[in-house]
Amino acid sequence: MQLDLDNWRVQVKKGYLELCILLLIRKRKRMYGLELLERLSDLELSLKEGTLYPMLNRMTDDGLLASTWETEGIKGHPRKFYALTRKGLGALSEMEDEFNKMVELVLKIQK
Amino acid sequence: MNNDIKIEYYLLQLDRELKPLPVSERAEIITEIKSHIREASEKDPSRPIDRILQEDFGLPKVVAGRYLSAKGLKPSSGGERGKKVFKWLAVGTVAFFAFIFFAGMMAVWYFSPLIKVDNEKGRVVLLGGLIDVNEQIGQVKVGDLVVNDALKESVEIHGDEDVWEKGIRLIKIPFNTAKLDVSHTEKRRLVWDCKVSADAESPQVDVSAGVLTLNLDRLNLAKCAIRIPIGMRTEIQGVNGSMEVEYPRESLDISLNNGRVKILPDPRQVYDFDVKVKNGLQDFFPRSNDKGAVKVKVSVVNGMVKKE
Repeated sequence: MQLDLDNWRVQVKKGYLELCILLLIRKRKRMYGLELLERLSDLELSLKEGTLYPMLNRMTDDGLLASTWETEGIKGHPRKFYALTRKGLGALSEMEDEFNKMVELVLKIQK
Repeated sequence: MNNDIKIEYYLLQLDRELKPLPVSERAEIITEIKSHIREASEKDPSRPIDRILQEDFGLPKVVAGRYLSAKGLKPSSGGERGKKVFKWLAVGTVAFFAFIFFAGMMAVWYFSPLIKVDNEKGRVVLLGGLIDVNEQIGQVKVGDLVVNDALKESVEIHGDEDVWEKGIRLIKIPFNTAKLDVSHTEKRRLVWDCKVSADAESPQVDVSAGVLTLNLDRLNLAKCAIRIPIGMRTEIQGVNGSMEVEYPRESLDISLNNGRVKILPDPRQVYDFDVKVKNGLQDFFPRSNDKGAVKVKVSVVNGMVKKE
């Protein structure tokens, strides 16, 4: 059976997408949905709006993100900004360690 | 069908599919998605609204399913069994299907928009006008209740309590529908001056275990000026109304379901503000880790929190 590379890519991407989202938010301190999608698109990590917003909602429910609404200076488009909580920072640090271990393992096998 | 109708119809369908969630959470999801659609459409006017709705977001049922499954909930439409029932109805009664579609369009018009926020005019309108917070005219309207500066046939009620003598550490002020002007005073007494309708009851005061409760629940549509002694933590919980807080100088915790809170910070004071508005508007309020910072927490479900 031939390996379906596209399917493999999708599965792998699912694994590190949440890590990338948390990394981006940590880097910028706080981001709102459209801004996050644009940045992911720049990095060629395409993600549908109908997937991102429920994901952000779940991460907020899990306590990894905190959200605040802002409307000052924005005409008619209230923006919901997301920032990492202390729990989110801790979880992200663990995810980074795990990811780095996986990369080291693959490099080790490749030698 | 013009773009506004397409967007509102999509959001109405999404709102229906999100039915297992609390109203306030559904409203917040709808506001976020609507705001995204409008901003994305403005940034790229060449991209048709249909593509944003159908390709970028997808079917309302599928999007709602993602929100719900993360919380261990099922979509309200009932899954596979619902599909079979709907198919049977569609095949058996075309007229019934057309009626459902028409009723849906009428619901879109009636409740449209679900949430409308106008920052320039300081106005938040929810559920087609059921809740209307208008800063320009200083009015909060919830259903048939209207809170503004006008109060016909009013009587004045004055009261005060020596909080230090009674060993009070916390003051609680619950109210139903009112307009409150809150400030702090260096005097020892908690003071309230209320204008109420002629047939209203007086405020109830209860003291227990270091907590003084000034209960304004039974004063419907009251206007009260309240002066709180410095050194007293205060919690104010209201259902509907308007609040103005001038120069807070002590820890304050305000929660309001529907309405407006306006804060005038003291420029000589460092504050740690924690302000949350679920559906509506809020100005930027600074936070501070400074040990001497006055903590002011404000939570409004529907409405606005503004800074003077």
